[in-house]
Parts: sequence; C-alpha cells; structure tokens
Amino acid sequence: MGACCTPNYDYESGDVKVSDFNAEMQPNWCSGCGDFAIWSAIKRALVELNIGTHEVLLCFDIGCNGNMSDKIKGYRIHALHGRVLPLAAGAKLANPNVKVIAFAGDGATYSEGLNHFINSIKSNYPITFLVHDNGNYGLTTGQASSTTPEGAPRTASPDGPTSSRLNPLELAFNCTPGFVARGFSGNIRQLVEIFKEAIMYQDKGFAYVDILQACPTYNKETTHDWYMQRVFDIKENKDYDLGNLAKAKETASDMENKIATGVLYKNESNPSYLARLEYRKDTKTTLVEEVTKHSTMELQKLYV
Amino acid sequence: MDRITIKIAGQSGQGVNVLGEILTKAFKRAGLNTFGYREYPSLIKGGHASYQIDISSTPLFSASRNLNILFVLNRQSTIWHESEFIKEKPSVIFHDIANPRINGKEADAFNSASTEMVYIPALKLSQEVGGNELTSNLVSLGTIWRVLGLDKEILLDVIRAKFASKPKIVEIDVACAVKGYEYAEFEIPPFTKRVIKEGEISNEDKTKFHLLSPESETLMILKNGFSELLKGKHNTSQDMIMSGNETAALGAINAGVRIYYSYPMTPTSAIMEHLADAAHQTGMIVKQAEDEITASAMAIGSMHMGTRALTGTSGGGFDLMTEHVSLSGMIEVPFVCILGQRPGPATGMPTWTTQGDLMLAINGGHGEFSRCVLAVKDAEDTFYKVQEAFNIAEKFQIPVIVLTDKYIAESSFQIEKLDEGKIPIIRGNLIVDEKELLELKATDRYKFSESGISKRWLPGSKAEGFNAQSDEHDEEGNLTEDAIPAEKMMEKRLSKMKTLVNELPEPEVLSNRHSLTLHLGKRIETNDVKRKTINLIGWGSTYCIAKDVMKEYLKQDITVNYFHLEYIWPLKTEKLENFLKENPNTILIECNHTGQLGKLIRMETGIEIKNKILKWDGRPFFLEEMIEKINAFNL
Repeated sequence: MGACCTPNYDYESGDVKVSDFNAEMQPNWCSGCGDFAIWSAIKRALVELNIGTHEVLLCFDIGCNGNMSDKIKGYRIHALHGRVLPLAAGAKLANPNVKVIAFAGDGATYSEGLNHFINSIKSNYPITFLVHDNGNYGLTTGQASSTTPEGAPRTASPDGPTSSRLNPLELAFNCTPGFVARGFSGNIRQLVEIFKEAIMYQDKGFAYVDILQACPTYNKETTHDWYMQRVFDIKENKDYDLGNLAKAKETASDMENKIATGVLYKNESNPSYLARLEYRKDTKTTLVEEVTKHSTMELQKLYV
Repeated sequence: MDRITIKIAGQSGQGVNVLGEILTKAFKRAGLNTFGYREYPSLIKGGHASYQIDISSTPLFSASRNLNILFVLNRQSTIWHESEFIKEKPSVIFHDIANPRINGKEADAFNSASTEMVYIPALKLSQEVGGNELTSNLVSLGTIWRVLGLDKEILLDVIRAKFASKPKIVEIDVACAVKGYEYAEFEIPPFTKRVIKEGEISNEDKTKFHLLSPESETLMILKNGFSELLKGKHNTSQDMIMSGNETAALGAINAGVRIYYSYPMTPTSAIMEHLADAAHQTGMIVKQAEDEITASAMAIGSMHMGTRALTGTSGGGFDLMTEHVSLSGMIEVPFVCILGQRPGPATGMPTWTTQGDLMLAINGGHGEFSRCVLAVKDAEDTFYKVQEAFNIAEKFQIPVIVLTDKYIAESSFQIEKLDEGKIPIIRGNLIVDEKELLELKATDRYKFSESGISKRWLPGSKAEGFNAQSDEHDEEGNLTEDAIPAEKMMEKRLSKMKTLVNELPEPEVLSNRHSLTLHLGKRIETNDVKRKTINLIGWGSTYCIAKDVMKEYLKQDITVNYFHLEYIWPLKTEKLENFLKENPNTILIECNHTGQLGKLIRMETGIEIKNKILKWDGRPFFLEEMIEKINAFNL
C-alpha cells in the first residue's frame, strides 16, 4: 500500500493530515505554473478545517486545473469542459453533508460554461467555486480566453483577442452573489485563508473565488511579476465594508493598477438554493438517504 | 358498432382539452373504455386544436381516423376535419356557433358522408343561467350527452370534480350542463337532412333553422350504438385516465427518484409540471435548469452522490445532453433520461408525434460505450419502464434512455391501478455496508472483470476515495494514455453490453389468436385456420396501433402476430431472427421516414425487412389507415 492510501485513517477522531490528500502521481504542470500554489493551498485549507478525504467531493473541469484530479486524494470527479458547475451543484443537492468544491479555468468558466456561471450565482447553490484564471487556454496551447488582456497575441489570434476583455468579478456582482473573492497564486497563505472562508461559507450559498494565476508558458502579459507589483490584500484597508456590494464592485473593477485580493464581498442573507425549497423546509434527510419506494397511491386517486 | 369516435375541435385556448378530459372521464364512469388523442399547434391562443375520444366496451389504444361526432367550437373547425367523415360511419356535427364554415369542399364531403348537423344556441342558454362564452361549452356537452341517451348525473359528477378547486364557478358550470341537457330533452331542434350552406343562416333564423326531421336516423343509429356499447359496460370505477407524462411522473416517484432536472420542451414538459405539483406531497426536488446541458450534468452529479435523479427532454434537448450521456458511459455513473420524440429535424413540429429518434438514442454521444435504450409501449408501461430504467442504470452503471413519443406522452389512456410492487428497487453493486466500505481499495472502483461491472460506492462514505475520471483512466480513475490500460478499460466498459443483453427480457410476440380469442369467449383452434396470417414488427408506440389492429382482424378471422421490441439496445437477436426467417412477409411499422428499427435489425442480424409501413407527417397511425395499408400488401 503506497502513500496514497489511508488504511489507518481514523474516521471517528477525524485527525486530518496533509498526507491524507497526497497522491502518488506528481503534478505535471509547467515549471512556475500558478496551479502548484492552488494545489498546495486547497490541501492546506482542508487540513486546517479538519475536513477528511471522505467529507469532501472535489470536482474538476477540463484544462490544466483538471490535471489536479489525480494529484490529490479523496473523492474526485473530473467532468466535461465548461460543465463542472452544474455537476457539482447536482452533487451537493443530493448530499449536502458533503462539502463540494468545484475547480475550473477561465476558458471553461467565462466562455464554454458562462451560462452555468451566471445561473449558479443566481441559484446560490451551496458550493465553493475556485477559478484558475490564468488569462488564456493553457492545455489547448495558448488560445485567447475572455480574460486575455486586450491586444495580447495568442495562438489563433496573433493580432490579439477579437473581443473585449471580461472582468469576471464585475459580472458576478451583477448576479446577486453572496460570496466573491479574488486570490493570487503568488500568495499561498492568503489563498489558504480565502479557501477556508469560501469552504465554510458554502452551506450559506455559492462561494466564488477568482484566482489570478501565472501561466508562464503562454501568458507573457499578466505574469507572476506583473501581478506581484499590483496586488494588495483588501485586509490592509481596515475600513473596508464586506457587505457593501457597490463598493466591492468598484474595488474589483481595477485590473490594471491596484488589484484588490482577498474576500471582497460577503452577504449571508441570500437564501441558498436549498433554503428556497418551501416543500423541504422541515426535511432533515438527504436525497441520497431518501431513495426508497415512494407510494403514489394518493396521487393515483386524482386520475380515477 | 363497437367503437364510437367523438372529436371536439376549436381554437387553442377555447377549452378543447378541458372538454375532452371531462367527456373522457364521463364515458369511463359510464362503464366504458376510452382513448383520448390530442392535436394542437405550437401556439398559446389561436390555431387549431382538437381532442378525440374513441369509446368502446373493451380496452382501446389508438385513435380512429373517421368520426361519428364532431363538436366544433369555431367556424374553421369544419374545414380541418371534413376529410374525417365517411358514408360507412354515421356522423353528426354539433356546432354552437351559428354558422360553421361550409363551402364547396366541405359541403361535398359532408354530403357524400351523409353527415348531419345540429346547432346548439349554447351562448344564449349559458347566459340564461349566469354563464358566459367559456361555460357555453358545458351547455353543449350537456346537450350532446342527452342526445346520446347517457346518464346526466355521471356528467355532472365529473364536472363537479373537475372544477372542485373553483367553488365560485362550479355551480354555474353545473347549471350550464343541466341547461344543455334539458334543452336536448325538451327543445332540441331536429337534425338537418342536408348540409347548411355558407350564409344560409341569418341571425334571425338561427334558432329556427333546424326544423327538418322530427327524429334523425343517424341519431338513432348513434344512440343504439351507445346502448350496444353499454351492454358491455363493466366496472371501470377504479380505472384511471392518464397520459404517458403522468405515468412517467408517478413512475419516477415510485422508483425513488428524489430530484428531477429538466428544461421545458414539448412533449415532456408536463412531466416536470406534474412532479412540481406533487412536490409538496413527495418532497422530490424539481429543478428547471437553464438548459439541457445543465439538466444532464446536474443529474449525473446527483446520481454520482447516490440519489436517484431523472431528466426528461425531446430530441433537440437530447442533442445537448449527448456529451453527458458519453460522460456517464465513461465514468460509469448511472444516468436516466426520458426522450419524448417529436418530429425533427431542428424545431420540426413541436406538438406532433414521431419515432424518429431511435438512432439518436442509440448513437447520440461521442465515443464507444455501453448504454441501454428502452421504448415504452403505452402510458401504463411508462410507469414500469421508468423504474426498470433506474435498475438497469444502477446495476450496469450506464446511461439508460427511455424513449417515448408525443402520442404516448400526451394521449389519454384508460388504465387500471398501477402496481407499485411490480418493480423493486435494485441498486446493483452499490457498497453501503460500513465494514465492506473500509475494506475497499480505490482501485476497486473501476476494477477489470468479465462482467465489466465493478463495485460502486458513494462520495461521503468512509472509504478510500477514487476519481470519476472523464479522461481514459486506470482502475482508480487516474488518467492514463498508455496503450495497455486504455485497451483494457475500454474492453471493461463495453463488456457490460454482453452482460446486459443476456439479462434483458426476451421480446414479446403478441397474437390475436391467444389473448383476444379468450377474451371474446370463443376459442378458435389454430389448425382450423387455413387463411392468411399477418405478421407485424414494431417498437414503442406502434404497440398501441398493433393491439387495436389485431382486434379488428380477429373479426374477419385473420391471424395477426405482432413482434414488439421494447428493449431495443442492446438488441436481443435470437428470437428476432427466428421470427423474421419464419415469416419473410413480416411488415415493419414505424412512424418515421427511414425505417430506423429496420435498419437496426439489418445492422445486427443482416436481415432486411422489405415490407414497410412508414409515416412521417407528425400524426400517429390511425386505425382504418393502418388496416388499409396492411391490406394493400395483399398477403
């Protein structure tokens, strides 16, 4: 039995160690890739929250982020490009006792699956969503994404992107969000704190984190150093009001000069998708536990 | 007369369906069997809609092409249905608008069919008891009910039940029906012996017009027809009138489905609506997704966690789901989708029927993987097939597609109480025992085996985790692109098809020489039969027309065998090949242009079925039409 397995894991005491999440397969991202930081930070966050491998479902989209799916242990699902959000939401609705964390890239989230992104915020599914936003498509060798800087040449668009750049947080702020954060792959400790907060928030609703991330191979514009010179932690601003949506939106709008990171907006009063279901208000069981023959005899009477 | 056909026709939004439902239930309560068939346009108001009820004293599964009674709610309806009258079938048109449109073409049709007409001044009668234009339709129902010599209380009971939730209007509704009934008793104008011409009735004349015959011969025939049918009346008090969408919803509830995901699309939107209406009783979550991609992805997410999730759509929505059908095949997470067929390609004819998506169900989704395709045969069967679909999906950890069509999904079938004990919940190789869970290795999840079926356990279980990996993978779900594991894993997944085909039930061969002869109380010995035999083969809703056709041929003492396929993919071939070899004149019946089942059979057995009856105009096969088409083969 290799380091992968957790034969002696004590489910009762729940003493979670980083090694529980360590896989035999080693990461194969490019040297200097921001994914290393996200990978380290998510393991750290889970351990610090004492969430065991069996208490969480890690859902991965397709792209470089998805290559994490076998470099970490636990219950994982590596789904289709752009579709991780509905998959993760479906999983959570079935068993809310399990923490559900979805990972995706900027291509999947802001192009292929944009519809899901908007609707997941609006629906306020109780899940955590972490976007590896590296400003282009990595795995398909460097095409432009919605967050590629204006004018930056990419594979298949040598003269720069032919559509304007999206600031995804601004979009999120227009969809009645409950939790919006921005991280940076150059600050692992901050990422751990943001992830922990986003995981703890998930029972209240949809926790969205956009992680600005270096792509050393294709992104020559918004590089690690470029971000290093511009990011600041919102916690530096002692008067910042986490509950002020307009202010948060304004704060998040600057992507060129002073780029705010950290949890930028948090509101616990939006009901989550599950809390909106009047007919399940008093139900304590999960949908997984409820799979049994349900009688239709009363309903059949309606048709006599 | 062993079948009487009534049609209500008007504009969408005029209440055609409500009237149809009331009449259907009323005939059922009178102790008869019914079949209700709807046609309507893809419009909310306006356009032409109809509700046809076939009535008999034995079970019915199909609609007749020719009418006995047409009740028109607007002028244009006569144009839409003029071709549905024939001389051999006595017919009457009731109209509560003064002057239904009858020009040259319609006049000729009605003349040659000797169709009679009767006008009911329903609006005036309705207003006399405080009603309006909508409730005037109930006046007409009352009149028709009386003209046919049926028991008033039955109709009134059904009306009361129908509008029970609207106590304010139910009294007026009942008063209208009573008014119409009494009008027929005391004042009904005699039927015309000739066809009314356009413009012939002036406003002043309209109540005096029909003063020709004191007692219509056609009416007498129809009245006698009903009393004949009523001689065969039986206890239908526990029978239900249900559409395939309604039985699908109940089947889902009974199967333990706890969440339903869908995006509205005719003809299956009503499944979502029925489930949502029942949610306060069942606690089942009903989620209207932002698109079909979402619905299928969410369903897979929920199934992965271990609940039972269902999705339903039509062909265009299924197109969007196909990437997730493929995902389900790859990660071996069960998936069940109800695919309600309507004519394509593209938007096609949204509110009409077809069997054009068989190949889509079998082939939709990239790559090669195991799947199962079932086709429901009627509304009752839908209740059970939805449940079986979950058992197959969970046992084999594959996608299962349940094919239905607009004909089954939206027609009203009269069925007996549904048996909740018939299909138990079978969850296959799902590990839930705590001790067994602790002994699992991550590699057990996709372990190679001869059956292809490996152990499945659920996220949240105290066991080693695994990766449900959409990339090609090893036994734990780790990505691999190496040749040997790639070859073996594909083999594992596809070997489930062999396991499955062996476990699926044998196809059914129906014959009018067994069940039906017994039903009619006289046994016909097979060796006495020197006459021709008709052999048919079909799938899905063709079961319905085949059932009724068999009954018709029995009257002429002609044997009909019908080979029915309901478990279509993987296809069991042994019995099928024998049947086709023994009966080379077998006729393939399908509601599509290319004979998709025929192609599939040829693909799997090499046998080509030459005789085909195909139809692709959005209408189902009608009884008389099918008989004519079979007779044309001159077997």
